[in-house]
Amino acid sequence: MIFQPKPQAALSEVERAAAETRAYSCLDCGMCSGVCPTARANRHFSPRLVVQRALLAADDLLREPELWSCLACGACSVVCPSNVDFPGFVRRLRARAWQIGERGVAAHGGVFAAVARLSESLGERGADRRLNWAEGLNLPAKGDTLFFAGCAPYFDTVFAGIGARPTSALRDAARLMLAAGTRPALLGNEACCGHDALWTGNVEQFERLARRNLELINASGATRVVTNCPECARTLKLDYPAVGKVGFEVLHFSQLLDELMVEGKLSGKFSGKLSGKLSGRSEGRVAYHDPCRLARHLKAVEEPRRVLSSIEGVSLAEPEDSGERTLCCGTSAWQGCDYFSEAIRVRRLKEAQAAGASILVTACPKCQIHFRCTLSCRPDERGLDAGLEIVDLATFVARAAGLSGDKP
Amino acid sequence: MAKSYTFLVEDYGQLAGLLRAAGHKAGLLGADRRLRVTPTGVLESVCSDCIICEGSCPVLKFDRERKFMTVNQVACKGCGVCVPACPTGALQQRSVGYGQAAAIIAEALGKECAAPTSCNSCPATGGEAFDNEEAEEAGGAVKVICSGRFEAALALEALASGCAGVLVVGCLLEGAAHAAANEPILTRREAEARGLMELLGLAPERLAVARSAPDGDAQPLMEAVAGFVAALEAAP
Repeated sequence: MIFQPKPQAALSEVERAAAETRAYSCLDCGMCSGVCPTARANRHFSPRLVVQRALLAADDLLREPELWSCLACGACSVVCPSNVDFPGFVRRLRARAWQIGERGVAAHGGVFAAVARLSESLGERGADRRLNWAEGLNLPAKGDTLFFAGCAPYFDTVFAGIGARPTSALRDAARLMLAAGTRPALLGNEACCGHDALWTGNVEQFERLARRNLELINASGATRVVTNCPECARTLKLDYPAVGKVGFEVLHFSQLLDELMVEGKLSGKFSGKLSGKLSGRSEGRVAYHDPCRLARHLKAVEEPRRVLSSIEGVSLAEPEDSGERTLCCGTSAWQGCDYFSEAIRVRRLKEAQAAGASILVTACPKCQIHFRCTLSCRPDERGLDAGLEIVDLATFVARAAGLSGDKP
Repeated sequence: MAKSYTFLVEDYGQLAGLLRAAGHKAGLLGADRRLRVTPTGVLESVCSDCIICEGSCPVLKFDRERKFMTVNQVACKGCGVCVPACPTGALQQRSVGYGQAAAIIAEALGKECAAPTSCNSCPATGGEAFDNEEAEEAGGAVKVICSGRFEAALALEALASGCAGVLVVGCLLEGAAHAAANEPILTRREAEARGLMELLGLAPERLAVARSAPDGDAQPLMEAVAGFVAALEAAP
């Protein structure tokens, strides 16, 4: 026998990762490079080349910035004829890189990594502050449906300057749930979900965070956990089972909203017509930006569209890359925000404009923050219309239902 | 167990003396261990051409042709104020790299006083006043940073590393334009750090900001340090 496969135990970590994510099956066909948002902006990057280099020169790759360029958005996996789980492969490579002390370039000074670390041991102290956003909604501490708030309160503090207020989307989501007869419970001491730790290679921290949240959620008796952040939803649903028992169903808010609307629990709540108060413009031409974690990792493409289309007066515009072929907001896990990230966002915003939209609805707080940031940085020079409104799905629907108490 | 304290200061020489007077062991910086002042550099591949940093310093210029920020390396004093203004991490300073500061803070943890730091560009700081043996014994100190370089991440990372508290000491060097210019920046970033600390349930006493004049009266700084330590010990 000329070729003898190595026994499993003799495989290196990178080889094992390649086997388990089917990266060995890469045909080098280049389908991935054609759809990868990063590759479309940065011609030096290509998923297939990363696979090749990982298998031929892993030690070099682990020390290069290229490893941190992937957004793990999964566009490549959708078109891959060999069904390679490229994001999964990159995640494993980063875990290895992390072990040898390599890091990506953190955005925002690494403040969210510090917040995640400190959230590992959150007690009751400060819980009232973390739940401040829910003031007046009278939400209980226990219940069948748990609303996992995620990092929104922290984002509010850091991004107030660009007008992003992710907790106002949380309030709107809660109002919609209440209107549909679902009373979501809140945990005052939930930790960071661990998404960013996991995708930047800090597996140990992810596991600590996951264990802590699982303990809290399982003890709360909730049978269903709803998040307004696709990254939280993805992490709780797809990554927590590897850490411990997940005794509950996980839904992104758009999925719950769809369910409530299909069941007729929100019927009669809508004023019927979208009024000018939505954007100051009377036309209801709305583009929906699929967040990568929602559309591809969780395959929730139809739900948000059904929700939007059921609102009278909304004319849904599809940007060029949408649904499971969506572009990305250009940055993930608060690292590696660079020229190409910005180019991806500019492209996305132009796609929305080209589709005739005056409102871009997203279902992810991070997408919203990133698009708002780009739109606020010399839009004229980049051919962007600063008047394009970026709105969270929950806020958009709550406004249409006349439920949103927050000013636009 | 003795608590450890992280001091992010400009006025290094004076503070070290005060800490010793107050019964703490201070980390000291020997002359040959002082890191050279390096101008801020731009990681071109990371610069997203958002130009958010442009207003933070007059030596930063956006290169409209090549689409990234540039730093006038002759004019840059290396204060680092622009570094936290950059959302992407493209603006970096070798001598004040956060990883380095964190490593030294971590190394100094468990000591009674951890990681004093001193300004990059201020001629009035007294790094030379301390001998090397003392510096070695104390595990070294971080050669840093103007208080305008302060950002929430620095304080939170120190607290996450187990430090009891963070004291930022900014200079009030008479006639120093940078001190006046940095004041509102520091105030804004302090407010952000406090907002996050409150959400995280961290006692507000764990972050304090003091002012000192390196060439002036030591008493106010002495009182600020003593007040900080006393407040920390009384904090829940």
